[in-house]
Amino acid sequence: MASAPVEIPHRPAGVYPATNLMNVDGFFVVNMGRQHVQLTLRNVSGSDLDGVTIYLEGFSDPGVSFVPRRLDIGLLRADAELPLRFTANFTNAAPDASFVSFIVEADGYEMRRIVKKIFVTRVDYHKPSKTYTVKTPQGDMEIVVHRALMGPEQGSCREGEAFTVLIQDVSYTLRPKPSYEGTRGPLMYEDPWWKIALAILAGLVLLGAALYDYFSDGTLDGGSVSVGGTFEETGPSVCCTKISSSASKGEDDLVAKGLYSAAGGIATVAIASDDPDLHWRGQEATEPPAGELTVGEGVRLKIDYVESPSPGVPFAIEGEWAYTRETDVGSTYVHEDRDRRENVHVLDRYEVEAPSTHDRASGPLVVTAQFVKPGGDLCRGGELLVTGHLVSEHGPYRQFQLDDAGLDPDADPNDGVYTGAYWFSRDAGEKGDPGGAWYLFVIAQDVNTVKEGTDPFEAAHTVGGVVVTTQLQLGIDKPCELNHDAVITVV
Amino acid sequence: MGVQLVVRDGSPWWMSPDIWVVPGSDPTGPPGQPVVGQRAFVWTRVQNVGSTRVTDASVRCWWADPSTMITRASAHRIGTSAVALEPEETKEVLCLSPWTPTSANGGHQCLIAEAFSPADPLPPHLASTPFDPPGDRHVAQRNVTVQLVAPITMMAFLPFMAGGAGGAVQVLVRRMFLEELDRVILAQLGARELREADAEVRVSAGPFWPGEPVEPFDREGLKLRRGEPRTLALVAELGEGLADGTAVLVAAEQVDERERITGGVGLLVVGSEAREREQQEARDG
Repeated sequence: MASAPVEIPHRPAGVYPATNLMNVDGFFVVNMGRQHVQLTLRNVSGSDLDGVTIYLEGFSDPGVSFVPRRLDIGLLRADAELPLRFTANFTNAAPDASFVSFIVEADGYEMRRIVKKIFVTRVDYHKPSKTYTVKTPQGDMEIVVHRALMGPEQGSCREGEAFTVLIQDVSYTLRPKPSYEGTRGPLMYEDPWWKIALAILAGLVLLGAALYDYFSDGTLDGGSVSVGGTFEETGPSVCCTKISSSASKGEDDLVAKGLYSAAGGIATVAIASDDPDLHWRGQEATEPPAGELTVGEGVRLKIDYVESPSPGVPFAIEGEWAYTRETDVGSTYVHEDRDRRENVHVLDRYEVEAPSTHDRASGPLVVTAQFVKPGGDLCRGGELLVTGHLVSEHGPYRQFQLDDAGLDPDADPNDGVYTGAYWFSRDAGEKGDPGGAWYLFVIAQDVNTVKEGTDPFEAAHTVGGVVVTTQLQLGIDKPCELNHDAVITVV
Repeated sequence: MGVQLVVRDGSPWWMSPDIWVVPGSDPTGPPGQPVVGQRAFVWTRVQNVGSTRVTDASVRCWWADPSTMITRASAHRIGTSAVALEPEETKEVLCLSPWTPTSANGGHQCLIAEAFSPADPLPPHLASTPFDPPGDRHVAQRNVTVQLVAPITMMAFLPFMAGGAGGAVQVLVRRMFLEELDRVILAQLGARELREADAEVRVSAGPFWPGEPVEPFDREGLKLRRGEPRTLALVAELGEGLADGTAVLVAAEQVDERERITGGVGLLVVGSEAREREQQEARDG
């Protein structure tokens, strides 16, 4: 009997449960502790499969713990790409590339074991030197943020806590292990590590209050760092607004927190990461003579926000940067440049459909959304990770998933219509879902769709996990906007 | 009958056919003998002999230094996997956490696997409670080591721990024959084609002192007092040596005051001309 004809086409990604958003490029972050392992299961049989089940069998890193659980999917339509998730605790994980295995079964087939690579990192902070360290198995990347735009303006948000931080002037150094000859060393994690380290750091800073341990001082002992005291704050300020100004009295403002976090990452992705990235070009321009070993590399990057770097918007951004290479004979090679880039993680438009009034006695609230790429094609199937966020005017916050897999309530797989549902509880008590106005946000993130086995240097040109919808409009020296996609009156 | 998870014992019980190793970087490769310093993957075959489906079972794998008395405190956890089983279903479960045998005791280690679920938990135990494969269907043990030797080799030995918790015990040694073994085990050890050696073999055991040369002992068993864990050596004198492709299996078993076998270790000594060439090349530098 043949094995179940399914595949998991892309690298499983880390999703932070509090915000329900994917981490930049799907990396798992030790500092975040418990995270969802997000994957897409694809039916490649050419026909419908019945009795489909899947469970997570194990991790190669024994430091990752999880509670066994099987997902009973049932019918998986032909060619469907179904987003699924399991939850695991990465608190004791080692920062490294590691593996996770899944067991998939379907009626009439033998079980199939699918082993996928995942990436795990950790960010430490050394208070005296104000240096962040992004841990990798091939060497630590030390990052110093010299200057940042901070938000909110005085008094706009909760006291003492920055809602957004846009890095303006940053430097990082990398000591490759081992030293290498030629233009480039081994690619960390076989992935564009330097490309996403800044984005992960930028995103994490914004999630600070929600992290189990914030940054760890290298010991993961519970030490914390004040964002406001970390950077030099000069010049203009990012003026944020709480979700409550547009939607409700969000008790923890996690929608806003997630989007502001995403915005911090998107800016650095746009200027420093998207193909061809500056580290790559710096290496290209500073090839050392034969026999010299590169013992250190560094980049200083000064970002000019010529437009507000709002997620999903093709904003322009400029950067002045210098790449420096040090070799074992004491030589230093420098390449400087100035770039103007545009955010490429965008949609042409997107549309969300939801009823203006929902009677909870009639069944679940069903929401559909379509996302149009630049050029007019619809996003389909596993191209996007789409999450629904409902915020009550009375405070409670709920999450749900949308997919294009043809699994009820979605009508057909890969038709470009993403559908999700949320069952409002009938109990409107303290822990139930209150009636009244609920503000809906449908947030889409692109997915790193690089095929396994792709040449690492080719793979390095793709970054995923970036928000492509436009709910958050950042303002620099003017108010931000956080716009919901629909308001639903729940009765 | 609910959920009833089983990892089968072997014959003898400490030679389970439901635990095996895949050496190398590909966990789906062929089974074989682990190599010191190189990673390997442990597999466990788990059955649900109950009448109820289980979707949240866990399988823990451990390694331990060769010993006739292994506890959770003395063993090292390799990793934990999950498995879902229908009634009467059997699955092979991969421990994706790699295991790299170390050079302690020459790389000879034993493996333990236990399967359990919220509906079928392990019996109450402490960290100091010995694993009890014959008394607990959830757990099984594989405690056999393959040692390749040059055909001219006259003696092979395996250090192991004996005694420990509980009362006084006897350690008895014996030669086993390959036909006593489940052929599955030989296949899992990468030794399917082995033939029984004609050699006269004498088996003995006695105290082992690290750094001291090991000589054959004049006894085929010894007694250990209560609470007296000792490192012993299981010694096989190989007479005229072992021809290429032939093997001798020797074992030490620990017997308690009620004459129950509470643990065992096996040593499969295999004559190998390839091993002789390796040793010669090493001597030649």
